[in-house]
Amino acid sequence: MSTTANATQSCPDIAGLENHFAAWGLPTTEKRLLKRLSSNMEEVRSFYDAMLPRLPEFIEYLNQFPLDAIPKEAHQLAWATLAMCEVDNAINKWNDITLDTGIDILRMIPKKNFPDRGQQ
Amino acid sequence: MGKAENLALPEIGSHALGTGKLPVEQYVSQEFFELEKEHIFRKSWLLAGRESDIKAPGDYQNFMVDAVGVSVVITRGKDQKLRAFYNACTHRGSRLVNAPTGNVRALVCNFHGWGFNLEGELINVPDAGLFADLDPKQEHLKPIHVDVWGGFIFINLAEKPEWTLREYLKPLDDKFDRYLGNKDWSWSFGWRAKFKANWKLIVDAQIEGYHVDMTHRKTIAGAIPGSSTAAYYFPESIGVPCGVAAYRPEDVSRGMQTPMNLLSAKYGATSIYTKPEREFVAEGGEGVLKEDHPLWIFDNYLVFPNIVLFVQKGQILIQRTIPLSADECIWEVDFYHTERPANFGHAFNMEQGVIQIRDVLSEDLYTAEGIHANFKCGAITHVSLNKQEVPLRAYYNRLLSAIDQSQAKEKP
Repeated sequence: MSTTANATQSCPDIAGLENHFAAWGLPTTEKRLLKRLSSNMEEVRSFYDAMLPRLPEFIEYLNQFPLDAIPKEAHQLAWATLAMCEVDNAINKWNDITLDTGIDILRMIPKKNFPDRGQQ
Repeated sequence: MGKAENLALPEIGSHALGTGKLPVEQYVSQEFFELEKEHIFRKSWLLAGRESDIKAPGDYQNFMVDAVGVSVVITRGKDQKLRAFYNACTHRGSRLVNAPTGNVRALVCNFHGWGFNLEGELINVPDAGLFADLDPKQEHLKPIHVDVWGGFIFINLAEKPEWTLREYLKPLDDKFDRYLGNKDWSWSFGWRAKFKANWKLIVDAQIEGYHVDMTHRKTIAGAIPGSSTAAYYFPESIGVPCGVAAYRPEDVSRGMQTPMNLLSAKYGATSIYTKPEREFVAEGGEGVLKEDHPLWIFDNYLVFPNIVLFVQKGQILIQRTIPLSADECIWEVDFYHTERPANFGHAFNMEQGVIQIRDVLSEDLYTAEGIHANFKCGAITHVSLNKQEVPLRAYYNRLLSAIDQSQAKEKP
């Protein structure tokens, strides 16, 4: 893979992004969704604007590791990068924290596998 | 094939099944629901699971047909054969398994300890001498018909199903069986939710493309224009009455392609709303995938009564809608992929795809409860359908014929 051919790229300089990483670098999609739902647009926009120009560099950096071998110190970076997917529509399509033309998103319970029906 | 010819889309729909309004009793009538239970849920082939989830001898899945209160235990025997039984001990009727899945050496009842092997034979009765005239051969677990197609397990509660599964699923043929049954597919993600709505309303929302531009105006409008979806119906089919095909617009810049969509499209193909720069690997799609059309994204098929199966390259989406009563249902979707993310870029693409489809589905699900209430209170007694909504007519016709034909056969 082209990105792994270059020897190890060093960890990107994240100066100035520490607060965003602390706020949004959450380990699951569900936690990142709850973070969006409990934020205001100003917070979401500030995160989005700070991260967007850096994303290609972050992805290239993270891409050099096998997915299950991303170093622990880069986990928050990875999770904050994934959190950008969670705020994309709020910023670019809704100009709002929630989608007002869909069901309450928390009604959709993530499944663990095909037979999963939760607690009966 | 010339380029212009190549880009032609199939006909958007048809008036061939009629143009009149349809009544709505079948969504809200308790009597109709009773007929559905008897003539549809006890007689149709029902999608119950994925064969790869029941791999080893003793693996089981507990599948509920809630409408009729039947719990089915599907197991693989030591002979590798898949079998299904009522989840009911033949002694005094207790459930044999309660977990949704698991692995057992034998099916042992927790009440008094009767034990059944994976072939359903009674093999152990504690203190058997206490019974006056117990004949273990008469105490076999009650079997249920089970078959596999496209890697999916289907069950049929009828004592003698009227059709084989393959007859039932025509026009989906062996090419689909091979493509969907490819062992490379693995479950990736899914959701479930409960709705105060008739189960068929949630099916209806996925079998026409007329809704796309409006319902999805805040997510994907333009990326799959309503005018680029085509309706199919299969009047000769028993179990696959209709479906919808979706194509991208010729102008790929249509629809809101955010910087995030475009960035994620470099690393994978999970989101169906953005043209990916990479494609999924998918073996054996000849005759299934319309790859000769440069704009084709997916075909979906209604697998009667309650499944909408979306087929595309490297990705399958299955929507199941499970009635609990005439007025309440469980909705589930499950995604299968041929590739697991191996690096972060692919995982990033997957995350973007998961969230995009999640938000789109939340829009698809937005109308069912309001429609149901409007039907139930009598505000709406009939609905209008255009040619692009012809799959709903095909679904309705299939529903009525399933009930009428069954009733006719039962009359002396």
